[in-house]
This record gives sequence, C-alpha cells and structure tokens, in this order.
Amino acid sequence: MAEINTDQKQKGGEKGLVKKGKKMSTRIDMTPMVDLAFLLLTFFLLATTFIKPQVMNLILPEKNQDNSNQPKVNEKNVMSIVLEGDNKVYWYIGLTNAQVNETNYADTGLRKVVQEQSKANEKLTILIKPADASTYENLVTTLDEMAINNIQKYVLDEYRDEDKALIQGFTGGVRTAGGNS
Amino acid sequence: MAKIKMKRHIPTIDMTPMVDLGFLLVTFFMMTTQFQPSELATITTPRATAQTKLPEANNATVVVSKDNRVFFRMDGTKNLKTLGEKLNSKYNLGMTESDIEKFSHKSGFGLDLRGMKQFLSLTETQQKNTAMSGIPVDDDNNNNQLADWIIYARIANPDVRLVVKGDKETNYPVIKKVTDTLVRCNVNKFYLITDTKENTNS
Repeated sequence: MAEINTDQKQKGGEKGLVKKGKKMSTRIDMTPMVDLAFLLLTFFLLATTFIKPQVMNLILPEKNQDNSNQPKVNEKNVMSIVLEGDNKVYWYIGLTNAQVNETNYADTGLRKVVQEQSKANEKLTILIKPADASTYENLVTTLDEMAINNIQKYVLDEYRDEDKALIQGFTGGVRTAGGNS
Repeated sequence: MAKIKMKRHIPTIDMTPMVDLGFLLVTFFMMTTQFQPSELATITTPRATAQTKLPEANNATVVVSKDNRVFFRMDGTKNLKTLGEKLNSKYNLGMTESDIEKFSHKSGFGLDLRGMKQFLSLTETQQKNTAMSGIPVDDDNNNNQLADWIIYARIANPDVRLVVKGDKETNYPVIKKVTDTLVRCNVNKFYLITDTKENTNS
C-alpha cells in the first residue's frame, strides 16, 4: 500500500498538477463481516439460557432426636391438611374426634379453606401431611397456597396412622362421632 | 441559465457504528453465555406462583425424575473436580487423574458410584446411550450415596445452594427420601424449582 501511494505522488509530481490522482477508496465492503457478526449474535442470543428457573424456598426443621423439647400446641389451633392420592385433599382441625372435610386444589378449594381458617384463628398452625400416594405436584401446590395466603406457621409433617384412620373413617361414609356440625 | 448538475447520491450508509454495536453484542453474549446443560431426564416441574429467580452460579441440583430416579448436577469444573476426588477416595473407585478430569466436565450424574469409573471410560455417544439408573438413596441398606454427593459438594463449594428439581408426577416417598437426606446433611434450607403460574388471587 505504502509503495503504491508514493508512486501516485510521484506521478502527480511529474505532471506538476495540483489535482490528485484518483484516490483509492479506503472503504471495504463490510457486508460479509456484518453478516457474520449478526449470525454469531443470533446464535449466542438463542444459546443463552434466558429463562432462569423460578424457585420456591423450603425450610425444614432439623431432625430432633429428643422429642421432649418440642413445643406443645393446643390441638384446636392445629389444622391438618392431608394430601392423598388421586389429587384428593382432606383437612380437619385438631385430631381427637376431628371432623374431616374434603376439598380440592382449585382456587375455590384449598385456598378458600386456608383463608377462612387462618382468619378465624390467628394462632392456627398448619400441618401438611402428604400420604405416600400423593405426588410432588400436590406438595408444591399446597406449599404455594401457604405462600399465597401468607401463612407463617406451617409444618411439613408425616402422614401417621391416626390420619389414615380419620381419612378412612371419612371416606367410608362414617362421620367421626362428636364432630361439630 | 446553466443547468445545475445534480450531484449523484451514492446510496451507501456508513455501517461502522452498526458493526461496532454488532460485535459489542457478540462479545457480550459470548462472555455471558452459559450453555444449557444437557437434559438428564425430561422433567416437568410443578407450577407455583413463586417469583424468586434462581441465581446462575453455585447451584447443586438434585433432579428427581418421573420414574423415581435421582440425579445430581453441579456447576463449576473446579468444584466438580474436588467432588470427584473426594468421592473417589471415599468409595475407593480407583479413578485416575484423567477420569477425574472427565468427571469434572460432566453436567450431571445419575448412577451408582461403583459404576462411575466404567461409565467414564465410555465414549460420549456410549455414555449418552447408557441408561442412567439413578443415584441410590436407600437408607435401609445403608447405601445412601446422595448424602455423600451432598456432603462433598458442600465441601467442594461451601457457598453451594441446594436445589431440588422434581417432576410433578414424582411420588411423594421419593421426594421425602431426598428431603430427609438433605436435612440429614444439615441442609435445612433449599429451593424447589417451579414453573410459572399466574396468581389468580386478587
């Protein structure tokens, strides 16, 4: 390039004219480069993991070997939500002679129940008891309802024989005695 | 009157700023891109209204598939290398330096540790075709390897965030095994990956 330039200058000098020789255009066709740049851009745009997954917090209590230290709660302030198979949900207050109610995961079901019960009793603690037949989705939906209704006091509990007996009593068509209706 | 000669317009635009911007963006995306790790299993996460976003780095994910298999995934090649070394010495896997190197480039694991060395010796395609049986989470037979994965992952990266990604159809007992294992490893706070759902509550 440099050589060519000096050549041109000399030519101009020889002719003794002010008018410069035809300048070589310094422009380069950038189209292919732009093409490539945008191709790469598109590729990286698409390859980027745009969607960060959404997460829900779950805090579980430590496994306590010593049961004597556990806080005692009045059973009237305890609401159990039992998650059963086939997307069935049962709930009851207390444990002795509890009246079992059935509900569902719809907005008008579990959410309404939780809303009403937590409004009626400020000290309410909710125990979530997923049965073995329930699915992960059931659990997440229930936990989500807790978040939606701003329930602070809830525990992921175990499904025990007492609960099983209650549910069986309910589904068997026999209302447990003493249930206030 | 003399004719005014119209100056001919050459229809070119200066593309330099556009190219500048183009390459700036390319550079940006090249630097920030994290490629999506290959799917270990098809997971449909349950829907919830949670809005919290999971940060990109320092995650260790326990993936639970529909057919009750458990996988483990962690980011950071360096962390995985430490994890591999620890697991190697704990289980006497006999993995060589190059095995651990291979281990550190894997995006996820879902098999019994005793089969790890053999798995790593396979080629990429063979590995893809190998059916992953899942990490044993069996407390009864004293074969809870997931616990060791979690413990050593936390040693390798103390800032690690434990995430559970479960399929919505997973049976609860498997999830319980996983959460119990997490609690046993003193991980009381962890995250559940969910899908978006509009909050219809007004």
